Amino acid sequence: MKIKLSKKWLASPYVIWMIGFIILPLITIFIYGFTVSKTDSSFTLDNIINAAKDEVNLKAMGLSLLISLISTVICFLLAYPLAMCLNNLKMKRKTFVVFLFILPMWLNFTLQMTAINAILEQEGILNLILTKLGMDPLHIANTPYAIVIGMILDYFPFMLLPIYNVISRIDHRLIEASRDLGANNFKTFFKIIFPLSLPGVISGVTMVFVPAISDFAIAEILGGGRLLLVGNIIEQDFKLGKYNTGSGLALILMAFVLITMALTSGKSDKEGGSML
Amino acid sequence: MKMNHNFSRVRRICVELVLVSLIAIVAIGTFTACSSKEKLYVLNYGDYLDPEIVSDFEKEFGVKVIYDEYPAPEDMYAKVTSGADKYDVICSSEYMLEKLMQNDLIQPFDPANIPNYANLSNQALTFMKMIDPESKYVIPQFWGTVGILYDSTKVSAEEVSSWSVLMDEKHKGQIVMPNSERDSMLVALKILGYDINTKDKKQLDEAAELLIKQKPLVQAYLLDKAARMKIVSGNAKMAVVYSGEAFLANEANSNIKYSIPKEGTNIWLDAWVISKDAPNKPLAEKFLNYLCEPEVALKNFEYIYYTTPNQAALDLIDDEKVTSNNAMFPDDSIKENSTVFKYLGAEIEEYYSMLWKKIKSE
Repeated sequence: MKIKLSKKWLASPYVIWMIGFIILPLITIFIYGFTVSKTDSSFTLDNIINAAKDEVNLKAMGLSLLISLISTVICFLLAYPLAMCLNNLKMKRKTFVVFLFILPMWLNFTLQMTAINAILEQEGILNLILTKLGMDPLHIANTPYAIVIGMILDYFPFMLLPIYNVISRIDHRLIEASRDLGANNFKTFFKIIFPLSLPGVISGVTMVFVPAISDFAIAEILGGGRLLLVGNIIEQDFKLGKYNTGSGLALILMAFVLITMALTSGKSDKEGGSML
Repeated sequence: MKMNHNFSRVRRICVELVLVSLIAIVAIGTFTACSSKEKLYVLNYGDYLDPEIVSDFEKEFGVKVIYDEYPAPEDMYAKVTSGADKYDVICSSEYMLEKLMQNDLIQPFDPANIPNYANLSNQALTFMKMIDPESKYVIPQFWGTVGILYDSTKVSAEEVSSWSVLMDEKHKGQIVMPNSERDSMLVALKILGYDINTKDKKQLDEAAELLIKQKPLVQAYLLDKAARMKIVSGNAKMAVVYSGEAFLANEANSNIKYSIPKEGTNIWLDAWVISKDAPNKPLAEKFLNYLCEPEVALKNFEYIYYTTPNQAALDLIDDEKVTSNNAMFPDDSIKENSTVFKYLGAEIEEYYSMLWKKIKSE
């Protein structure tokens, strides 16, 4: 008996995984999102229209959008200079960069968030230092600021790595040529380095923004239950058995993600070099 | 040619690996299926039963307990109605049990199989009758009140004798409210002087309005241990908590006290029921009877420090400090203006969740 194996066969474990945990749930969300209730399976758009009209949902969506945008921008502002620095380091060993990338993941996520909370709390470490220095204590805990800090901490590596990878692959001769032709550092950066690194930036922005907008765990831990993001509303709806309205909202969120991907596709790093 | 040869070896190894793992899976499957022990499926709040009690029960009766936990009553309901798992016994809160009862999801127990029922205190049984008038379904596990946990060095006992202290601008950013819609609404309803089980949407709107007004004063919405820790660590002056947290907070810092405001409060009751489609009802009854044994109830009381409904267990406690604790054992006068939460029906439940979202999104 001859067993025929092609290389494609090796992908089958993941294909099974994908069907079970991505495709099927997606279909279920679509079915729930477009039907009236568990017992009444007639087609409707009400779930989506109502979800989009609801004032509470709109507020939550606005807040989610704002928080994830700010987190993405700050991640970018932190990651880009760092990527440049890493690239200029004498020790250009990949292992070191991987180490930097992995380091934050050594800490358990929940502990990280709990620790941030302990630092930012009213009687926390930050305020202790501030009052010792004679300054007014800050009220950051349980506000959107705390969530932004948590998101930056959690998602930063996903911004750094793609940008670093693209920058490290920029042909140095192009930069030298630009200098030879009389461009100053400023001009070289904006005319040569930045445009060439754009694919990495776009990969990074997508990888931070997309998970951030649907996040609910960080908001739950660092928001002290005072803030409602889209993720939290979806979670609550499902908890209360309101699968149809929850799915409607999930579909709207999915639209946001798809728009982001449409805007960035084609421009992101095609060579796959932004991945390790 | 050499390459090719190697590659086919790799293939063979791959196939062998797959076969071996298949065999292993089948073997493990049969092994588990063959284990002859009776099984009991238990669903309870997180950290609400001393794990030793479960293992003791397993040893004593030669059975296997499959023990699942859930964070909030709504999660329990979703789990039970999804039908993915079947449970024998479920522990939850009064209004959820009423909901289970009304939706025909639980079955009565046979009193003859639970002789230890006689150990339960009259006080607890009175509260229980508010949801289960015929005492057919429910076996109390713990009960208590909702009140204000406060740091007596920062807030006076006089102030916290009324719920309205939670609306005082003076305490801005120092208040922790419960992250639970009914418990938060309870505070507002009591301040407004309404029934905590009201179904009047106008009254509920007013209460929600009040909570929205209060929100800028609230530091966080937390439950259980998280709320207690805010007070113990000195990060907040007062928190609305379940009475069980009071004893532990007081143990950690004797300046932390618990007050049941004069307007009255909610008396909560967590209890066990047998699921309608319980796979093993006789064993479920054995388990519930076991939990009602004085020594077992005492052990669990000493693990959680929530008020036990087991009179026989209470009689075993000789620590004056525990039995005289007013937070844990309020006197009968509390019944005058306090009551249990009733299940309000699907429509009001939905209305509550809508209001709660509104409060949270402000």
